[in-house]
Amino acid sequence: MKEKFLITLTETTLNINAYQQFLACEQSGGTVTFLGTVRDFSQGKSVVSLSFEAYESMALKEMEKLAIIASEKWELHKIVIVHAIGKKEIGDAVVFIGTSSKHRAEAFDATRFLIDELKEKVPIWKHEFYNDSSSWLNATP
Amino acid sequence: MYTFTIKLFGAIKADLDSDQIKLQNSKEKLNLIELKREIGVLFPNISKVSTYKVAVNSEIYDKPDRFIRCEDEIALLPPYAGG
Repeated sequence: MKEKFLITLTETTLNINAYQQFLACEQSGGTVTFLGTVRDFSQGKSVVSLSFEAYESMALKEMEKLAIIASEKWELHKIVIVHAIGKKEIGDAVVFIGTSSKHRAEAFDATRFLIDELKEKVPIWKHEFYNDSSSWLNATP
Repeated sequence: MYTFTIKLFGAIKADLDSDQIKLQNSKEKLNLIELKREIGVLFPNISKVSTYKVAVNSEIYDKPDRFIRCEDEIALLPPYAGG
């Protein structure tokens, strides 16, 4: 049986097509994905760029824990959790979450759960750069 | 003396301009309260930089009486902001 989870941190551009292909499954009637991107305005300031840092070994463990919890809560066929690390520009993709399942409801709920829990449980930090300053951010909803 | 090596991340790493700190102590193991006290003595401004959790061997330690050994992988984790 093929792997059920695709979980990684990457310094390169997110390969969204590859993640979509991984999620494809003949038994699935629904695939739901979430794509997070760098926006141009934050904390009342224009964002020039940002950088993500991770405690990589722990982050990967926590991401896998979330995938296991999600697969126990919902009947899922495939799960993708990918987060970028390193410097990113406005509009760049920085996080991809995807689940596939027999019915759409499970995939919607599981994908929402995974992105919400990732923000809370996975040790990743965001450093935003503005024209005249920079800031390390705390978790945001 | 025993050496506790502590990984740093995010705002704490930036403020101390280092990705790790080393604590020397006569004890081979410290509980969480003792460890945080020692960190505060060595770096009195650390609590002004950020709140933080302590991870030991990639698990969050939040019970104050749980022991941390000098050979453990210890990390100070400011509030997360992934996604």
